[in-house]
Amino acid sequence: MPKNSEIDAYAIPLSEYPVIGRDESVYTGIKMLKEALHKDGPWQGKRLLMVRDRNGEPTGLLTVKCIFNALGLRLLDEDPAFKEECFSWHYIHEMRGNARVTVREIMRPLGAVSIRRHSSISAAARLFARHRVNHLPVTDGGKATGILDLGQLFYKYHLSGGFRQATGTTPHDLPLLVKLLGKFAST
Amino acid sequence: MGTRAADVMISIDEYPVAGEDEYIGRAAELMVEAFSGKNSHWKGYESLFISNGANEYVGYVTMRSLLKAIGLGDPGRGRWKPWYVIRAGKKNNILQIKDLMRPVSANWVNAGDDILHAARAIIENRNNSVLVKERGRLVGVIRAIDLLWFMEELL
Repeated sequence: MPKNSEIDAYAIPLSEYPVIGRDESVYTGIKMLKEALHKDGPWQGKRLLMVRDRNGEPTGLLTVKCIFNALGLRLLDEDPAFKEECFSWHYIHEMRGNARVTVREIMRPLGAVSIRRHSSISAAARLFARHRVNHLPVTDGGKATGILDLGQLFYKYHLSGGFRQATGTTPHDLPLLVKLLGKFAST
Repeated sequence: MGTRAADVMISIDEYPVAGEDEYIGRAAELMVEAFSGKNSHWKGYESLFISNGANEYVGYVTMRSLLKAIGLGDPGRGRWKPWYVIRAGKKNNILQIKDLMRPVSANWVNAGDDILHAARAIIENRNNSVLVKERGRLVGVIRAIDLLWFMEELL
């Protein structure tokens, strides 16, 4: 594998991501996510917001998936079966009725799923698949330093020729393979 | 609401298509060719559709499923592996798209369905997208990100 087989080479620094306070409302989060998405051109921008606590420290990620989780909670709130059988419906209903839902309540905490900066690409690939996330915080000594983005990792990994090395040959390699096999058979 | 799945979907014609016998490396090539724009920016559709010999859509692969193939190729650096795992790994070294694809028969909504229905399908299936069909024929895809524009109304 090339030198950039460690995910550190693919991570985007935290400072490049737009920031939102954890006590902001979900609606502010949605508005900021939309703006972030189109900041560098249509659909070219960042797909998450970095959530900071009251001391300005990074504490979580607000992603599109987090917004969908909030919608899932809302749909649960309307489910008659849930209302009938689950006492927690009362609390969810109260939360929606009496107070606004904040970013803190739906964000993904930084420590929930993360990867160390010297981990391998394959370790990152397994985490992306297992947890079905699109972004992984990259940590160094327990502190988040950057974000590994599934799309960027895919693109850069492809450019480095990684897919060919990790998953076998492509049909374009077959003539070479046949040639090598022929050489082996003749020795 | 009134907004239908057909109003927000991306047409299936905008996605690249590969044969089910293609290899993973070729699938990655096709996705990058189709989705990295002229200025090398990622356009972000992130799926590749698979057709069979009769030119029917049978499945699709996503960036995540292709990256998963890397994880399968290296199931743990430095860990001891029994001989039968090593042998199976060597035998399957050349992965084909059909080894990883998801079927188009699962996780879909009708073109006339409300977008809330599409959002619910994305939540329940824990995917980034949902397929859209019209009279049983695959016509498009709705990504979670396409519904972000409607989230204030849905929430």
